[in-house]
Amino acid sequence: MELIADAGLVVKLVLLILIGFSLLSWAIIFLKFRVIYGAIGDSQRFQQFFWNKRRLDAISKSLKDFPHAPTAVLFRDGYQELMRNQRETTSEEPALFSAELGQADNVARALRRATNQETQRLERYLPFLATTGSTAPFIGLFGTVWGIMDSFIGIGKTGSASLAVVAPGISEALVATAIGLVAAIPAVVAYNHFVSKVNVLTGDMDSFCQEFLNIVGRMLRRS
Amino acid sequence: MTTPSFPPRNEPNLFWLLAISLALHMLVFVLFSGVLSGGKQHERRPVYYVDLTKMPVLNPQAGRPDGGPAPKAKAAAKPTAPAQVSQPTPQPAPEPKPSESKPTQVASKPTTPQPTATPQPTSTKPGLKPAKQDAKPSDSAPSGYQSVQEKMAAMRQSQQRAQELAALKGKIAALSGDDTSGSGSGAPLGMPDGTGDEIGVDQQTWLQAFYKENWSLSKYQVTRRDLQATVQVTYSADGTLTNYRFIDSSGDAAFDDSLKKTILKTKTLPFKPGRTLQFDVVFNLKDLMD
Repeated sequence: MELIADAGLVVKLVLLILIGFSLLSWAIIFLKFRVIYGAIGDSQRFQQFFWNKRRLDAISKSLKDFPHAPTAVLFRDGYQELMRNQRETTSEEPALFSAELGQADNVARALRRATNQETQRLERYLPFLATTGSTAPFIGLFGTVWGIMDSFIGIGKTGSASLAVVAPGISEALVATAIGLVAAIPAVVAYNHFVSKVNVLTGDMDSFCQEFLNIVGRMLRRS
Repeated sequence: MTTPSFPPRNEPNLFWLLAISLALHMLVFVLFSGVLSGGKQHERRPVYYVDLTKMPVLNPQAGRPDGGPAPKAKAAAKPTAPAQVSQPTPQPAPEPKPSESKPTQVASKPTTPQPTATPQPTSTKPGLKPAKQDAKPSDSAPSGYQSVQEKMAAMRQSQQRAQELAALKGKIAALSGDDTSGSGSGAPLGMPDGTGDEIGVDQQTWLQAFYKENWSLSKYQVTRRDLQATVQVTYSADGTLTNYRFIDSSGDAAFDDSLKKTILKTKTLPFKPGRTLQFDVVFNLKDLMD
């Protein structure tokens, strides 16, 4: 506490910035924890439900039970696109093979768009954690360098270079690096953890898209 | 077939998460800044002013370590003393003997401070008695009853003066700081947390005052004023310094050296503690420089 109180203005400003970084990064860590783990849990439950039910209309009615599952969003968008195409084909002549292929492409595009949207949602704010992890130590280091510069200026004025004179100034300056590391380490750990979880979810979404397109293709060929 | 309904996602509000984050940071700050444990860590013995000529005791009584009365008591005692001294002035002025010069001297003395005035009433006593004895033969026909009455009055006067004199002596002793009986005008000599029955300060307080008295360091030798060091000193039962070690160093070599020298000045205590003494002494530069 005394170290912070005795520090210079620049060091105090650096400390304030680092505390701001730390506050925001922890808020994002809490947010991402809830969002990503909610998505993982709901996604697993939805896929289990999806493979058990096998009827698309029945599945579509139970989507509200899986509000955080990204695969449920993919299913909704793909199913909506499929329904839209079917409404259009029922009003006209029996569909040709090429038209069926066009329907499958539409569904694939809808699924790709939904995948992108969900990935973006899951990755939102994660770059801030990466920024905190990479820049906070440097910001802290800047405060330390500035503090040591001040300390040496003081030594030059007093003319004494004993350890008792040098040590307090350096210890005050090192507080900035310490707080920079305190802000950066959890941010880096959380970033790596969440990115790996998002990658798992993205892989799940890609797999689900392929499976869903296969099901749609089989349905179209049957009809 | 209907389009599937999808409920809106209840994602947590970033504002509330920021508030939680702030609370977490404050908790960490409180835990690591020592605010919670600060009271215990920085609990120090207050600096007492101790009369080093009085040796410490093992079980000090409740009282003040400086022993003397509070400054207010001193101020209050001063006006009362002349008033008490002036009391005898009307009494030693007997009408039959106007020729005696001593009572006038006593009457003039009350303006001067107490100790010089107090012996005066006693000196009047021998002067009075012979005067009365001399008066007897001069009176041609004094009755026996009257003479007995005069004798008794003189005796009462002398007794009263003796009592007043004793009270004044007590007050003077208290003012000069020699009162160790605890019945003086100020608080008795002892420790604020004393529970024993011995008159005096405890050994640690005495030793701290002794260290302070013997400590010396030029202000040009230290670069900071907020230096503090804690030293654990150990004395054997016969008062010999057996060990000392720095629990918390001040970080200033000059200050630490001055503390070592101060402690080594007391290799042998001027008193025998009667048991092994081991305590932590906190040396604060500001306290020492006061």
